[in-house]
Amino acid sequence: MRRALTCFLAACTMVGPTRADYYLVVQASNTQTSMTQKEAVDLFMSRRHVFRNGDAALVFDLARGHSEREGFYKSLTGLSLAQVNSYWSRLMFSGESRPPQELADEAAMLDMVKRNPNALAWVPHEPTDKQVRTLLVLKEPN
Amino acid sequence: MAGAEPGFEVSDLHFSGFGTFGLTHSNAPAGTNFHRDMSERLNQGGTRADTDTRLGAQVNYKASSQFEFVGQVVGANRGAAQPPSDFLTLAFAAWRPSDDWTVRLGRMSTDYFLLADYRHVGFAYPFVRPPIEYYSSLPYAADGIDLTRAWRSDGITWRLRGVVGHSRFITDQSGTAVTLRPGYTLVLSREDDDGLLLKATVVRARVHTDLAAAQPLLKGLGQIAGLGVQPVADDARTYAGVLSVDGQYINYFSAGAGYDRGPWLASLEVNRAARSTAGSYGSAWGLVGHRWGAVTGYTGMSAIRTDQSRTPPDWRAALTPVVGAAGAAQAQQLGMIAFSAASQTNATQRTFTLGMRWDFSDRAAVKLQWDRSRVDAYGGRIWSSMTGEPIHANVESATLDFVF
Repeated sequence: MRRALTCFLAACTMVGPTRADYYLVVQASNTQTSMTQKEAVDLFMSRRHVFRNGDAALVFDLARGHSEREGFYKSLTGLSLAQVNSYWSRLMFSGESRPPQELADEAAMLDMVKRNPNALAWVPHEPTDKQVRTLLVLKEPN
Repeated sequence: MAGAEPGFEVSDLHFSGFGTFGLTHSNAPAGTNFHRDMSERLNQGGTRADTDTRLGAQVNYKASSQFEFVGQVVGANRGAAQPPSDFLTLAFAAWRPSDDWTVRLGRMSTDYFLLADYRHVGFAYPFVRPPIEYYSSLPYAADGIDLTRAWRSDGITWRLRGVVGHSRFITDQSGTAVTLRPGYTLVLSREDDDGLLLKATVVRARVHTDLAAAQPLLKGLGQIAGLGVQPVADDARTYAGVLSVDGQYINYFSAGAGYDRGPWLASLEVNRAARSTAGSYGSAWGLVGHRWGAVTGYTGMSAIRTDQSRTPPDWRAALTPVVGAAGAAQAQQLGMIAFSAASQTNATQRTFTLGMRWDFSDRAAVKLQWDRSRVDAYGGRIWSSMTGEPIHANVESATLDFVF
């Protein structure tokens, strides 16, 4: 009886709302092997444009309307998508900077990373391709 | 791609835009005009759709990782004297030789104050329009060159920008262009990851404007000042000084702070302009807001005060013993004309603001705002008032802002 109750309680903790993970990825040949969240914010919000070694970073984002973008930016910056877009409209329409280039879907993001050693992208599923390295995993906040 | 810069695969052409559809209703007295900025066409008040409505389109062309070209046009309510070239609000080439340095050449936004360089973009700020006491007489663009140095450490981004160029502003009321040439601007900003932005700006510029129409008045004031009768001579020299701005230097100093993190947002900005085209003045604005999900409520105040006397001259008694009654009456008439002309450069008013913003999508927002303005006698420059009467006015506004 006790064993059944323990199994039942364990099952309850496993069933429930799951938190998404977001994987920031580069080509495996990129010399950077990890990234802090501050570094990631700097690159995705255009405060910096280079990796730690000084190489140019080409940052890519999933297309507007993609279901995972809201969760990604909330995890990365704590901002809602409207706040992120307001931030970008300030920078873009004053000529300061531009948001990351958008790609259609996760497959396009991985393809860009595999073809370009300077690409930095994010995907909502853990990549299994050995040509791609994960620098940072972001967890969706509760 | 053969010949492509390592790590840069393709050249990049990007189109984007922004817009606002807006309705305003003002109950200001007859003979006054509510407008968002003084380059707009004068109007008869009431309910209007042209005060805040505008549409902007921008193209960015990234030729390489170091070179980018940007062009932007904005269609909005403009006075008859505005040249067509004023639709072009950005047109510059940017060179970024490293992550820390940027050089731009061409037409750029005037980065004087907190909101100056994106005033057209309603989606970028919480309220309907930037405070008119602060922003209504500011040129939108400057033609020239700027150099920016940025550095980042411990989550703080510092930027130092120097600009040399010229800009122009034409009020619809006067139809006369006021050009700031050359203009030298220095901007220092600090922005951190906790949502705090601090910005300080210094501008020094030489004013150029056509004073041909004012020459007879200035000549008359010179003759009255030459009589040496106090306080008439001082008044005459003051009016002449306000009106004869051509060739004079102006200096602006502005300091601003903005905070936006979590549910709270706040802004505060103060400005002092010495020997501006409107006479020396000080202005300030502040705003506090709170977010409840997609809805933001805000309230704020803004004010401007020009350092000019708002008391009409009374020269007859002092001048009659010197030039006789008829001469004194003529001088009094000229003094009133000069006072009225100088008063048109006088802005002394305060506005209380209450509003809300609803982000019903991640690229569009609806705003509702109520403004209550009190304008002192002979302080109605921003309302293009010719009467000198004090103004109490309510303005209700509704806008739909979007980006694409």
